Amino acid sequence: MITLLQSTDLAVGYAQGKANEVVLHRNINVHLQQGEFACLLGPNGAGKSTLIKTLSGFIPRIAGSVAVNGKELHDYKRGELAKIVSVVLTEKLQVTNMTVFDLVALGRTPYTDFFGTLGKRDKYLVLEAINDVGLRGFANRQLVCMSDGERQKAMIAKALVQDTPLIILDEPTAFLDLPSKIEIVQLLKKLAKNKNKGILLSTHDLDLALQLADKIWLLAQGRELEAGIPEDLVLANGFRRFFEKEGILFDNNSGSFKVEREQLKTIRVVGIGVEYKWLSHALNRTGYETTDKEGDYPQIHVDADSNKAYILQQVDGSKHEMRTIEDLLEQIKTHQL
Amino acid sequence: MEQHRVKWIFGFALLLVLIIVLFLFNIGFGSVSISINDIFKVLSGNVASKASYTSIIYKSRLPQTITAMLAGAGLAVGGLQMQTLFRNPLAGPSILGISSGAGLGVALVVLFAGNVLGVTISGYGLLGHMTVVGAAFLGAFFILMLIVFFAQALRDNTILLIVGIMVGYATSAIIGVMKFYSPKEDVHAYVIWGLGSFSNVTWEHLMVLIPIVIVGLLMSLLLIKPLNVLVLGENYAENLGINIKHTRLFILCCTGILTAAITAFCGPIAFLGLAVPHLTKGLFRTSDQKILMPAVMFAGAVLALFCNLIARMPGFDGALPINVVTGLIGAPIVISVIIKRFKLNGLNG
Repeated sequence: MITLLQSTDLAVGYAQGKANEVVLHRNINVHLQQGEFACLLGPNGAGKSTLIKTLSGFIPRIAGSVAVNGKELHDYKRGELAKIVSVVLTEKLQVTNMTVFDLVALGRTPYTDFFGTLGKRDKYLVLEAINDVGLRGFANRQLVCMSDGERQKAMIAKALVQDTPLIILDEPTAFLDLPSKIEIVQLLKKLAKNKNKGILLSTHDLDLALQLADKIWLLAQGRELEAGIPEDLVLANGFRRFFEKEGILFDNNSGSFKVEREQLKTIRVVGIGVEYKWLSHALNRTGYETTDKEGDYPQIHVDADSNKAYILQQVDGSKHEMRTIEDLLEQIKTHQL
Repeated sequence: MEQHRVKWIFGFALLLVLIIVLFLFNIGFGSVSISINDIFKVLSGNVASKASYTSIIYKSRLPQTITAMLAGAGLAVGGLQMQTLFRNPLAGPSILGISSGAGLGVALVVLFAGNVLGVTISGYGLLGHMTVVGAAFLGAFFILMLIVFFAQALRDNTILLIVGIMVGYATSAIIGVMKFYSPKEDVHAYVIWGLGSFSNVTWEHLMVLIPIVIVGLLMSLLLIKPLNVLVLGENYAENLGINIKHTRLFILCCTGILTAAITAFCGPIAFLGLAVPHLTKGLFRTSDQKILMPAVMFAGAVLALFCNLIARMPGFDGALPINVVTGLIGAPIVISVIIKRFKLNGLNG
């Protein structure tokens, strides 16, 4: 594994003249390797964007160093940097009369001549990148006739033809629907591996990052950045420390967030399978604590194998059989359990 | 790709034919109509059927036609650059107050000099006209320098655009004050200048205007690559190795010089610079500046020739100012662009 990007005691923030330095984070020591897909996670206002902008060379660092391929990032000339780091940003592109091919071809800018003329090889690379991001056959499609997700894929193809070892994406999925988000993150993971690139993605999508990232970088206001593989971070309570707020709990078992609710009454649930899981979910959601232990409370038997019924047995012994969870909840409500 | 190339070749051929036809119409039509045979005779240095034709063509119609072509091409290129730089379909070459600056220069000599110094510039013939041109150019150039100064201080293009528009407003306000305190005749002279005209440009003027516009057009060809990348916005452009600050200054100077020179000689020509890039994009259906830049030059010349022709149609006898015509043609175009945009946005939800 070759380390592409290495930051040493990096401090990031904004400087408007020497006097007005606003430092958001200090002592950032992270690295990104070839073929690695890293996700930068953090709540809004954590300074993710500032870090991303510093690492992609948009704004100067405050202190420390960022080395890319062993050379200080901010020592690269503009033209060289364009061949080292490519970016994909959040912003929505609204250009009329522009095809996917035209857009992706702009990624060749650092390599083309004075008028930006595309050679044979450039055109080949552009078409290859369009195929690589899953937009085969879209080359002559107008950008305005595409979905947001497809347009971001085209931007990723632009980053690919820029032919840089590093690709940095600043919340490219922010305004996409869930399936598009999943598709993009999967695509990035695949590209990192197949094209042997270092890819850094800043995102809010914790579940996706947990499932797909090789490395996760956690960032929150007033904390030092923590990096590691997803599992280690969960076990070290990283997500709890970075994301938990009052009323929101991070469940280390499921790797997802739970909303804290007052759960006053207890219901025993007996059964197995997916029906059992979602029944518990529904009961928790409506304010009941679920247990599998016997006790002095009503119980629900999930008959998963034969006729898919939910049998509610009250403390007095009376039984009701329901077909859906909705009916069951209705029943519980009318009996005021 | 190939089908595009056919469309582009067709587009350029169409524009070229239109330029030639409109060029001949501009020379031939007017209060005195000249036949095509006579036009060719005069232009090739032979004797026409009437001796006066030579004088009409050389002294009046030819310089006017050339001026219209230069002004149309120059303003259209300026419009394309501003629309691309600011990523705003409603930007034009005068958006940054440069033509207001020219107006300020003219107001200073026509209104202020007439008022305070007791000199009526309009009464001085050619010399007076040269003073007006000089003042307009200086005024425009002053505003251009101001904008360049702001451009170096400001990173954000939107803020620069707002500053430019504000500078324009402030300049217009100063002109307003001068108008308010000026005698009627001077204000009238200023209003006439403000309506624009291709007909006040003599060969002596053209010797100045032609080289400036040609330099401006050549400069704009150097901007093809950065303008193409700027379509993606500043951040993407910077990441692709474009020096945003230098590029922006270069664009501002290029548009600024073209607008300053053309406004100085022809007055503020409205709408051409804004409308032509939209027309061209509609015809060529591309965002590639390699195609758009030359196409916009051709289309600008075509539209200016067309407007000039209408302004001179028999019956109007030159009485219709050029800005009235460009406005009447320009306004429907701007409206259709807005409606088209609205539809496109609606399509995307």
